[in-house]
Amino acid sequence: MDTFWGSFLQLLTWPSIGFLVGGTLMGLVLGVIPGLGGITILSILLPLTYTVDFQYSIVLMTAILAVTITSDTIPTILIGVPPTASASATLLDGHALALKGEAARALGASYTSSIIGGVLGAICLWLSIPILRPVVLSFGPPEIFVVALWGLSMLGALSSGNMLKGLAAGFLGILLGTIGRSPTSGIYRYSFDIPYLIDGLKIATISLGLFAIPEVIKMAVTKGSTTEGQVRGNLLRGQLQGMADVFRNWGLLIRTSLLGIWIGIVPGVGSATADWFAYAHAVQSAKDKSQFGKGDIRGVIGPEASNNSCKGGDFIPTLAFGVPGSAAMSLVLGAFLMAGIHPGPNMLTTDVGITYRIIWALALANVVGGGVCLLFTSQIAKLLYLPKHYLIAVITTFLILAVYLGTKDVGDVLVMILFGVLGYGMKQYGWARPPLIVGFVLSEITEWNFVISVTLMGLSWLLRPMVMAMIVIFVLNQVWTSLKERRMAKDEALRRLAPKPEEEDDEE
Amino acid sequence: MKSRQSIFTAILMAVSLAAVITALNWDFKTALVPVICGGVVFTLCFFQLLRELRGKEAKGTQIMDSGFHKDATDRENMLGALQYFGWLVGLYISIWILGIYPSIGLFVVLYLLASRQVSLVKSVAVAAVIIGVVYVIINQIAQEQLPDPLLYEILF
Repeated sequence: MDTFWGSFLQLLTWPSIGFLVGGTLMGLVLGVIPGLGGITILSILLPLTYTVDFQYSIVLMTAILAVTITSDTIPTILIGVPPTASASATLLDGHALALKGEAARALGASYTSSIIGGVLGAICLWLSIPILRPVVLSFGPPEIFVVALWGLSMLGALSSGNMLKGLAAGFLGILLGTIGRSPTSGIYRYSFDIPYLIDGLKIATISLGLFAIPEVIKMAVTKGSTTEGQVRGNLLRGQLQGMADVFRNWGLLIRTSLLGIWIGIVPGVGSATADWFAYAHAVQSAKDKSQFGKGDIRGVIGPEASNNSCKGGDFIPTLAFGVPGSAAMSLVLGAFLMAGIHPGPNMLTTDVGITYRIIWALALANVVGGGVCLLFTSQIAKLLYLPKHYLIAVITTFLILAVYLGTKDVGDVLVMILFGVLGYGMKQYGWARPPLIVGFVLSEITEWNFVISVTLMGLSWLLRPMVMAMIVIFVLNQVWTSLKERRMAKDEALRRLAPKPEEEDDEE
Repeated sequence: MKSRQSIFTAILMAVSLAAVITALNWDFKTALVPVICGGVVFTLCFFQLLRELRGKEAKGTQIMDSGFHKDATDRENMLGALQYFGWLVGLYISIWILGIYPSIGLFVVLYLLASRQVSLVKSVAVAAVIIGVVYVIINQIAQEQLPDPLLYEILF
């Protein structure tokens, strides 16, 4: 316990605090720029490990990773362009709220959920230290397959309104995810000898095409010269309302934060997936689903809490085994190895100080990052007062930059345009787009882990304790949700049938 | 509008059918997921198409999406979309031939001039600022080396 508090006090001394604040500010700025995000900047900062003491460089890296996903909601909510794939779920309701003149409320809710989600992620990382090994060891291909199946079962919730179209979009997403090298046989599927398609499609390119391009078109066809109506009234009051919304929906906040941590622990499933899982859960657990996609604050709270808490979960397999939970974590692992530290059991014994330092940096960066965003929202929101032709020119440039910078392949621009056409068609003709992204994200994970499970264990993988426990929870959750929905539908029908008070008066 | 909607569904159906037919040439393990998913998409789209043709499209289908702007007609939406996709395709071809910096500059100047609300001087100034920001991001922050465009390869 002394080491735990000692790490906290050390972090507050110079130069640690400088690295923490510097990393946080750097992460916030980079989070807003399309195509950059945490991974790019971490790869640039990696050589820093050679020159700067590791206890400081790890604080810098943790702070950057923690907050890029906090500030990426700013362009997502204000102009409908998610800079990273992990912000695309927030776009649906966040931007819809902005269009209703409640941008400040959406931003307030987003920052508050991010802070709380991030801190909960850090707390969970701290609490999980004694039980780290059995938790992570229990995750094999069968368990990951069940997690993926659970995600796919949410396609139904995401397509409420038209199950047929929603499920078709979800399966289309899985089909698109099969483009490229087959994880089971190594054969190239649907690549048609085009080098670009050999590696498959990229989630960032698809989500920008599906979600951002239709928003820009919408902006272009909107009559009137500006989008200034998106920030109406008192900004501070709007933000406070957003913060209050978060505490009003505290149950959702806790559940989606825990969901994010869990997704983070599972290797290979990143914060983009956590985002959509949380969104689907917010829809699934809501009594009144009618406002989702049209500006429901719960559609902002769930994904934002989840993707920040996911970072805490991400660190668990990285620290416990040296198994990176995501692409960004593989760079953190690289930094550890460059500093001559081998993550594993020693992270809980001899190097426990570093583990505690990461935990504190994660928690404090979230608080500082969210606080800075809350303070500067009014300045950032002025972006919306730009005339729309300037906005469209800037957004288009950054959309192109976001996809081009990732791979430096001009093919990404073409794919984004094609998915823009698909996204426009889906939006225009009432096809829900979220199931397509969820299907795409889970496609490879599902196929790979299913084939590995069956190849290695036949059907006996179904009898693994963790798999059985997860299936039971999964089935109970589905039964509970459908019973709840049936009860709500019944109540609604009864309410409609019941005579209205004035009708009763008439009868009298 | 309804016929366009059905055309969209029919295109998705055709794509999924083509995906299944292609996958049937692969071995079982490779084809399993594509055939199942393509088959499901085809079947669901088929039933959706039937619903649309019978005029039984469910109400409230846009529950997860806020839809396009209400004050623009379908024709205006379509024209706006076509125009914007035209700009994007032009930008794509330009990046491929000229590279990213000249293409972004050209796009910004031409787009602002086409809006008929910005003067040439102002649009050139805005383009210069945007190119400057893009340069800083690519060269200073990301420190990326971009591939040579087609024109450069032809000339040098």
